[in-house]
Amino acid sequence: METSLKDNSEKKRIYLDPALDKLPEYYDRDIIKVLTKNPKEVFIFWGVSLSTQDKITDFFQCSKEEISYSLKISYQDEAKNHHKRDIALKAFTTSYLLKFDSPVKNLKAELVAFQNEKFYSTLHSASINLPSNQPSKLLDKNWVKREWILEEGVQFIFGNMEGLQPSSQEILVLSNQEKEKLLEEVVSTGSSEIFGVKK
Amino acid sequence: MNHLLGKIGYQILVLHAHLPYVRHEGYFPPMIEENWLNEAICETYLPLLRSFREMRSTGTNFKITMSFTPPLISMLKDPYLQNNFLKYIEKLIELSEKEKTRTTFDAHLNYLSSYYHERFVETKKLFLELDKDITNGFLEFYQEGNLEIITCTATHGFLPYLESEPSSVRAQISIGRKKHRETWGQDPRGIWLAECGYFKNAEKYLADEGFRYFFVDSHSIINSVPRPKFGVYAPIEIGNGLFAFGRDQKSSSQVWSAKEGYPGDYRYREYYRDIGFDLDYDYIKDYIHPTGIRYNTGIKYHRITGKTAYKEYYQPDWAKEASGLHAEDFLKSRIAQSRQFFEEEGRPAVIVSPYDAELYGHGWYEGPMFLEFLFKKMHFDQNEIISIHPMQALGLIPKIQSVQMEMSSWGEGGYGDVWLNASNEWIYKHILECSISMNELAHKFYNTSNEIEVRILQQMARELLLLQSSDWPFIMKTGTVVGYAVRRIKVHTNLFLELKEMILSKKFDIERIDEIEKEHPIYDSIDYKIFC
Repeated sequence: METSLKDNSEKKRIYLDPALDKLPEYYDRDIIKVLTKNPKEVFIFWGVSLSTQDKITDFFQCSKEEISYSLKISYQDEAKNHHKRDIALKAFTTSYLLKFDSPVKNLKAELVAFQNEKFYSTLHSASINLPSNQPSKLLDKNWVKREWILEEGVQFIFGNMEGLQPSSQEILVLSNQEKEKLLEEVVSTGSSEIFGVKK
Repeated sequence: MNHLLGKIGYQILVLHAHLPYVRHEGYFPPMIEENWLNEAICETYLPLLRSFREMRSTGTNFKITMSFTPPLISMLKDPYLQNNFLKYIEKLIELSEKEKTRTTFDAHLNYLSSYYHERFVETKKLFLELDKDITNGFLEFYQEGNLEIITCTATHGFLPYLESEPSSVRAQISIGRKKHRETWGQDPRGIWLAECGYFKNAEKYLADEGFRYFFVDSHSIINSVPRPKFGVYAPIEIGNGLFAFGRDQKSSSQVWSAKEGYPGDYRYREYYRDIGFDLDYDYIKDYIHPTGIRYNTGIKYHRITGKTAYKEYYQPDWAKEASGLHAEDFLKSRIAQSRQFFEEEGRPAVIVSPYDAELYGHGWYEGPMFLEFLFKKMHFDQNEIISIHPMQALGLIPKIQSVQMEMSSWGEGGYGDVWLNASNEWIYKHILECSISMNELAHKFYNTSNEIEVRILQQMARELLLLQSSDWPFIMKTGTVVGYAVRRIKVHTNLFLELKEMILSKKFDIERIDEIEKEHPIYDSIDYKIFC
């Protein structure tokens, strides 16, 4: 429920001041941002500064109205294959909702101005990784459950994960024989580290 | 520590107390949104305090982790808002007195009106006993060790959407810590990230401010890399000395679920039958909004009854019995969970159950009573599980797995959808522009000794922090007071830009600066240099 406001004073209080009711439509700054909405969607928005717009029109030797823009997207899928998408943008577009079938990595967005066959790279976003929406296939040998070992597609880290020092890690895909050996090891250990309690 | 050993389960119950910063002194008619604080004090914070006192008086050992967000603390300690609450509770006492007279035609209604009258009188008494600052009441439990009080980001800013602006992330976290220290006299060890909004490597910022732990939703832990062996039943280490605790879904849904959650029990009080809506306008008009807009008074005479529009009278004794039974059920479920985990893994389960504090009392009227029953039963009726604080868990678990987490939240969908969708995506270009500008200007004017420039920069920092509040996009998504949330975005953005123009042009308007400072007087000792 919203309050209806009545104010009889001559000078408008801040929250009643109509002068504060309109937001700028444009900021004179080069910016492109990619925000993660969820593991399969990102929201990209951008703004091009006046000086960059001038550079673009100088480059193409034409007016702003004659220039088109596209978003060039690059990313890697879960299998680490590289992909690119080229999205033509309608005039005056300053944002785009991008969707994927699954979480992607190293996603970058580039805003490109073009006219006829000529291109001008305008803005580049930072690279982002979309969060995974399922349990990892990467297992730490020191922290593994029996039932995970024989799962298809799992990989194992052997090394020191404490303090997250990656230099001493090695990711391995174990053969079935090696998995059986690890399984035996985990089953036979069966220890409990509970303080004062033995399983 | 010895009394904690030999248990099969450790319960960490977390109450996250937060309201958006809403303060509009001098407006008539008053902004309806200011009533949120009054309702929360009356129906959640003071009832919780009463429950804590009751548990203490019966020798019940209880450990609860409670986050108090900086905006909430600022409001609780604000004399204008404290006096607002006093007027509010006095009005309720008056209304309930009138109700006692009006309801003589029906013995049960009359009993209920007396019940409310007594409660409101007690509430006012407790409020005055605490010198109108209810943080005083919680402080004693913090000092005694029953409560572990933690902080939150400065204005409940959703950090994943501030990630690209490190100075803003730092400011949100640092100011959150400072407000905590100022209020409670010590640095917090834990932090409630607004909406459990985590982004990869956020822990570096937390470590810089001395934090040791925070909370995330279940999937944040479950999907971490490498796969965590114990899921949400153990904290995980994520680098920089920080630990994350993951929400347990089972205990969560027993309370939160609209379908099967306890608060939906037919014996509990019906939220949507309030005399503010039910009674004749001429009778109730002095107790609702001066414009005639009806709103909740807190006097509700009916119980949920069923999935029906027809509601029967509320029976406090039935509700009390229900809350006792639900507490027993909750405890049994936690014991069963712990037993199963202990059987499978050979170590105790750490079960983390976080909730919005306002659910207890305001959303679910009997919530505080449920908590009292729960902790009493936990203490007196069994010895398999015990309530603890997060830092105690770190000492009780023999080894903690190290993992890496990715962006997540506890919002619907588990990521950013609530705060980034068609209703609110437009706000981010303004937040980003102001965040970048603040960083630039903090650097540019780092060494200024001009008092007016300092005042402007401080106020710009306040406006920016309030603009960054995750409450506004949340409200836009939920569709409640959308106009108000939109207005807040516009006001904070425009005031920020106006002050920016003022400092760059050096055309100082002292009267205007005074006016803006009075409008948003949060964080009076803010240091704009935090945005460098």
